[in-house]
Amino acid sequence: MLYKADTLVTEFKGRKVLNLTDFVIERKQIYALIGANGAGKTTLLNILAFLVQPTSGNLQFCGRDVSCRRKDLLDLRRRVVLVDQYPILFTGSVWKNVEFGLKVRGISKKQRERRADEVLELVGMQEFRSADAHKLSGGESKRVAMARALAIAPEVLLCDEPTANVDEENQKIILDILERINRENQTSIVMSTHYLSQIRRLAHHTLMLEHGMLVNAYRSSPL
Amino acid sequence: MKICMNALLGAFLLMVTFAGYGWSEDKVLKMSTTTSTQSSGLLDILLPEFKKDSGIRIKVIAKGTGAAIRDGKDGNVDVIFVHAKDRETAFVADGFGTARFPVMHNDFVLLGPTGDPAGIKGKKDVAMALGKIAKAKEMFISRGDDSGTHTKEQALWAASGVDLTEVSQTIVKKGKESKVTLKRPADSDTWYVSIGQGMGKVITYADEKQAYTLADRGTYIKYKFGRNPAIELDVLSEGDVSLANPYGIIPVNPKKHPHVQYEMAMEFVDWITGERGQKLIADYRLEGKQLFYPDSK
Amino acid sequence: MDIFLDSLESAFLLLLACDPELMDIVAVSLKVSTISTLIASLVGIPCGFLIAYSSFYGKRLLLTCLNTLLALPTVVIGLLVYSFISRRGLFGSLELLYTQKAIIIGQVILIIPLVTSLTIAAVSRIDKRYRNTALTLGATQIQMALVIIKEARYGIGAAVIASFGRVIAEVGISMMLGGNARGFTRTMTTAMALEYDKGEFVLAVALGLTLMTIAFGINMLFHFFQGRAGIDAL
Repeated sequence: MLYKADTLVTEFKGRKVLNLTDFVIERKQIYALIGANGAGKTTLLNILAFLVQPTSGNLQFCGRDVSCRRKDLLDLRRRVVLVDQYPILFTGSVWKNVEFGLKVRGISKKQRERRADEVLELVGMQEFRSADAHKLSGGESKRVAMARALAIAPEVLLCDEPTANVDEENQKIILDILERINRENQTSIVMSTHYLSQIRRLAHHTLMLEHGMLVNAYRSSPL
Repeated sequence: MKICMNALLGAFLLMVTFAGYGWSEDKVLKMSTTTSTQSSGLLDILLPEFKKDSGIRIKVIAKGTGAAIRDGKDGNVDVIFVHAKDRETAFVADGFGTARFPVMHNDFVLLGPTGDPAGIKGKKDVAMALGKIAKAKEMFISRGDDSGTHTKEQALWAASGVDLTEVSQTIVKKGKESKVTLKRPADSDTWYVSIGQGMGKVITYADEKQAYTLADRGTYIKYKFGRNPAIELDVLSEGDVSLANPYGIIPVNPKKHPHVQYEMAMEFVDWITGERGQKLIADYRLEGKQLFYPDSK
Repeated sequence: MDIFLDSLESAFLLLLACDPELMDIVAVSLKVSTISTLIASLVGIPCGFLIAYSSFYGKRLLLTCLNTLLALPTVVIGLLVYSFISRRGLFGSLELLYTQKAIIIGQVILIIPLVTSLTIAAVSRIDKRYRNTALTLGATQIQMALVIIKEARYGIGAAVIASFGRVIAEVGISMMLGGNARGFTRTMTTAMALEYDKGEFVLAVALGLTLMTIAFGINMLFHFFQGRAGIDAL
């Protein structure tokens, strides 16, 4: 079991935005998170990325309670990565962005170069290597953000609407990448989405949120 | 919006006008003087008495002598009351003032730390004393602000036989190039400190640094006996003829500046050089010590 | 108007001749202001960052205090520092009064609130997602801070420039703590005050024009370094 939560409550300005009971996520699977806007999908992804602390309740990761000590949080965060719906790229070149996660882990320059080139190729952005990150289109930014996340070879990839605001061509590229890293690297993936076609194509599990509560969970077999 | 702005502006102008009426009710004479005159406290005795006798209120603008004379030249004031005799004479000769009337005098004193590292204590000959300070390279604080005291100090250095150097800057005045020149002892960068501030500030500075300086007696007495904690500086040289510090009063010439209040200025001149003013000056005591000696016959 | 034209010509004349007196004054001003700004930035930028990125009890009060300190008159700081470093003060034995160090102490106190509050403003403007992105990619708190500071660099740069402008233009602290000693602590502003006291308006205004030229030059330099990215950010 990757994540396990029981009576996990998150409040924002006194309002319950998330209230989970019996919540489980298994390893090496692709989970689709569905629900109306404001159902709590983004909050849940932030909690799973250890960026937001739940107000109360207990969350387990790999069978151990998630502590909120700063040092432990850093170690936990380094095993998962979240790609935002509208990802932020840092000022600088595409390459600088992609190597960020490796640099903060103190990986040598030579290895960073190799790894960054690998993932840029994976997302098909190698010719943008030295382009200014802030000059890319929405779809290109999303692919760079994906490469940046994949560079650190995470155990868990969390994606907030990976294909929102992306043209069809880029949508296909992104979905292919997700499928591939799940198959080849056994990376666990949790993604929120509005598209049934994506769920049918990728998801092993579908979780449905409504008003912060898990109302439905079912297994499916990807095509 | 525009109407609103106009109304506001109108109201503001109205206020200024009324306020102006309020001020012009009494007769006001503008006088520029030196900081040392004002800080001696003498004016606080003289001016209320003059107001009682004549109904004229005097607005005092206290600056360094250079600036005080400048105010007279520009017609910013009606009368000047300063202590730099040569420059006062020039002021009258250039037609800016009608005449110089001697009012009173006091004297300058050479101050230094009690330890007296230059060994000038009791030397009446101030030129010689300055020579010893220069030779010992003991720190000396100079007004350096073109004031009466600074003018006097430069003259004393000239008389001391110490090599002097001239610092001059070329500037443009009335479209013509002119030079601003200051004299200071030669090769004195390490010990001669020119701070360009008023007398009180120079005395505090010298006290902080335990250095020598030239001061007028009035300000010295104030800082030595009228202040707690008192400065730790002593009079080391005094009484030399060259240390005399005469004060003169000069009405600004109405031929140069027709708007000046010459009549009122003369009224004040007559009063201060007359029996009443002169007696008040002679009777003035600061911390129990006489400060000024009347000069008018 | 005459005074202004004369001053303009005088300023040119003095600058062209590299008048040693003027050069010395300008050098002292630049040296003191630069060191003050540097020290205040080293303290104020991390402080501003910490305040902006942490939530604690009394944060609003602290911000109000900081904003009040922005209005602190130089004379008050001058008096305060004076009372400590005067010969009779607590640190009198250090003989700091009337030295460039004394001016720097006062000026640093003057602009730390300015650097801090402008840094807070600059950092707060940076999208919160930069913070989360850095953290999810595995950055430590310090690495995350460096990312934010890099993203906020124009705002922080502007804070530093504004602080420099404040100290190079202030006269109260330089006069009270520096003492306007020729060749030691005479700065452009104290020299101006002196020339005004002497009635040498032409020289005073000429110095003022020099000061403005320097300020203009520094701002140009800043804009040059900001480059195209800076214009985009506007």
